[in-house]
Amino acid sequence: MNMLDNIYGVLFKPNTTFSELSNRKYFASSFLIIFLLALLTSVKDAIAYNSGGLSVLLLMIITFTFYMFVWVISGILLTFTSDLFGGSGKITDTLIGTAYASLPLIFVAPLYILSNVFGDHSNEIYSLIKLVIYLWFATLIILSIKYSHKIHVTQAILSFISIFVLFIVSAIGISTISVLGTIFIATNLL
Amino acid sequence: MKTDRIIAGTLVALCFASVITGFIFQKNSNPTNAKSNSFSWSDSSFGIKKADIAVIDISGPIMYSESNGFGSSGVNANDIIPMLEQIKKDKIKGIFLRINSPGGTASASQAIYEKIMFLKKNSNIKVVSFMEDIAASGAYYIASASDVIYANPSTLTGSIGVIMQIPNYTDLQNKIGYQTNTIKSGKFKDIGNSSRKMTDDERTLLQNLINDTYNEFAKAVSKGRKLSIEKVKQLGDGRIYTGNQANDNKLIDKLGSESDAINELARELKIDGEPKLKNYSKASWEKLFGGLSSKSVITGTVFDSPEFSASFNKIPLTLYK
Repeated sequence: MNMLDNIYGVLFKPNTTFSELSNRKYFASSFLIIFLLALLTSVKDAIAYNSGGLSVLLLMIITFTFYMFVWVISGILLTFTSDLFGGSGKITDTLIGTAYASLPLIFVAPLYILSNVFGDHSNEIYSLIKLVIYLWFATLIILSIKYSHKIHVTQAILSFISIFVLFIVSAIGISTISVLGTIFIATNLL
Repeated sequence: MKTDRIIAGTLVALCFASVITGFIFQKNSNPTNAKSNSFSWSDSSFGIKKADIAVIDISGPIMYSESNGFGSSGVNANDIIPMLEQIKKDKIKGIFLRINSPGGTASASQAIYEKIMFLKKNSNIKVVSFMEDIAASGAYYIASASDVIYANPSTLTGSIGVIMQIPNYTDLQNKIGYQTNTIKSGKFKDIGNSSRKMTDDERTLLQNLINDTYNEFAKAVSKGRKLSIEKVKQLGDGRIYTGNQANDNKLIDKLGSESDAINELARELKIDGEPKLKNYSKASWEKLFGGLSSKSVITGTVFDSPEFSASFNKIPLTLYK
């Protein structure tokens, strides 16, 4: 299968395609997908940004870097959470799966352009379609975890949700430590 | 298999082509680029080019509330004032107010008016309003801060005045044998109590309050419209005017369409070609998810009205409506 077959498959026949993608042969193409997606998103953000000049270029670079960074970090975290639920895949499997699962996000940028062409009245429809795209994306992520880590769909959902739990727990932990630290310092100072 | 590849390739290519086309067209539509400033789509925040005109919708009852959710109605001063601050930060020199509102609370209308006047004075921002179906009372208060007001001939406007209505359920309560015991720290603490008749002292106090608020309103209109206070008070006896009548009485500047108003603002700002608009009232993700919260389930109903809000909180309410 070449990259275009994979793209079609992920969008229209995700079960079969993710099963084939779990053969770990597609890291280069998955990197290319994320690269292009990050590029597309950064151009879209530049269009949305109401300014010009160097700041737009900076925004594009930040968006692009952030996109790539999130892909790698979420790949590591998903591998970790999937392992917790009995998964057997490696980080590269997760990265390939999440890259292909991100494919529906390519529709966000043209949708944004269209919403601007049609004016203010399309804003709510745009938001709703974007929500549908994100739900589609979430579904594909779960399928990718299921196949790349060879776990049941319920475990895949749990490992996906666990990422958010991890983020929340980390945020609470960091906040608690900083508050306790502040109290400790204040108490010692007094 | 070949068809699948063609479909996948076409989809990806179309996505990229649309974004790149948007990027290039927008770059070309920048007026600073003298060679190619002919392209621009109306009311679009489409591109690298900085917006020329900020659009704010003043639609529905005006009041202070928590941030409005997706699908909710009304104008929240807590949303509008940050929008105006953002416009200043974005260095946009023109604001277009699209007004369709029957009015609202005194403080919310006044706050928005004052913010617009502040921006006009300190940031040299031009403001043009267009009145749609109705721009009465509190909505007119806001519009009067504009440099130019446009309306349709049949738009309803005016209603300059302040109103406070307190129901009296005494007879009804006597009929059904219902009584309220009130324990209060001062004689005016239960002012507006619907369970008894209003005293003369209370009526005088509330009338003074209404008069004071009305004077503020009249002064604001006088300042914004450059009319004498006497003239404003003569016109502002609470009556409503059609766009035609308002134009004759100088409550508005011109009769015309929304595009006439935008073009006038563009001319004031010396914008060549079609101006680029950015709507600051656009739906955002915060609004979408805000709208899914329990608060917004009752928006657009009687629970969302200023009157309900006031009676629920036991606050005598002055309304521009």
